[in-house]
Amino acid sequence: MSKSKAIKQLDNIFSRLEGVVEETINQKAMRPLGEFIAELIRKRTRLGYGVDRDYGQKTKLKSLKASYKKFRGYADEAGFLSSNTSQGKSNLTLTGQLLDSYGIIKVSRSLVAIGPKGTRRNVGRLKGRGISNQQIALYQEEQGRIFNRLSELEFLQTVRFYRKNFGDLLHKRKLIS
Amino acid sequence: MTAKHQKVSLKVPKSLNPDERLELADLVIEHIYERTTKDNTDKNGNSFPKYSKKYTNSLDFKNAGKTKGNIDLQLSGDMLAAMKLLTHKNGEITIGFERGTEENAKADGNIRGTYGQASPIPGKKRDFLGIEQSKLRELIEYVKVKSN
Repeated sequence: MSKSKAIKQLDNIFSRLEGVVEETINQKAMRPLGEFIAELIRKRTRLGYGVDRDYGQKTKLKSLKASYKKFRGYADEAGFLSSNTSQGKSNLTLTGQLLDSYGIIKVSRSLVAIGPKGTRRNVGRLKGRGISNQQIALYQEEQGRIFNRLSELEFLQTVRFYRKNFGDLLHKRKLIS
Repeated sequence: MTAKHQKVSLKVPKSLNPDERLELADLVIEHIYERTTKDNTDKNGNSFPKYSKKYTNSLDFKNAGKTKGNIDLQLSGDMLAAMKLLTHKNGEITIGFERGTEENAKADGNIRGTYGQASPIPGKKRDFLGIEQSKLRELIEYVKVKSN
């Protein structure tokens, strides 16, 4: 599976957004939109849910194996289990590096791409070994923990974000408050 | 526990045409969203009860990046995103959640103060689904003036 599959290009989401709001997305909105979508995906994954296709429904991430939970218990005792998780919680978080790195990868005139970035650091006994966060994301997908997609309700949150900050609701702030 | 279907029907002038009713419904929904998330008040303008210590100390609360003082009824944000216009007809719009959905269940928990329990927890309901009459009149006036 290619590394580029860990990178999420937002062109199809932006096209659908333009159809909903009936206007072309302003260049200055592209980075904030990318950051908003990245944060939605990061938060939802940390809460323990994945989405297997764009505009699908979120579902609980696959449970952890007993042996892996035991390892996570050791990690907790050793102090390198992230504070964003717990021993038994399935939320793609061990040290926290994958989701902490998730954000904007590229912004150009016509394209915004988001995804995990950077190379794994040594944390406690865990060695980074030159593995990238994108490789970790791809591995998780292969294990059935798909997170790098936007659910239908997350898309609606994105529409609201756009309308409030760049679209029609910007001019109706006093009216709706 | 089966959740109650959460929706509110609002009487509107019969003179509003379908497009105007759609626009009004959109404004009502956005007002409810703003009032809930920014003012943290219910449909009658009362402040929402504070979150419990158990909830504010939970991992979910931390992972959602929430703060104790902001009672905005959002964890993932999906519940308020799911609030929509259900039906409309001459003289009435109905806003709420699709029956049987997880988001309807969440809304029901907040509105009745049940949060998945059989009975409401005293003093814990957060009834956000509605609008004060004065605000509704203001939004209706805006839609009427905009159309003329």
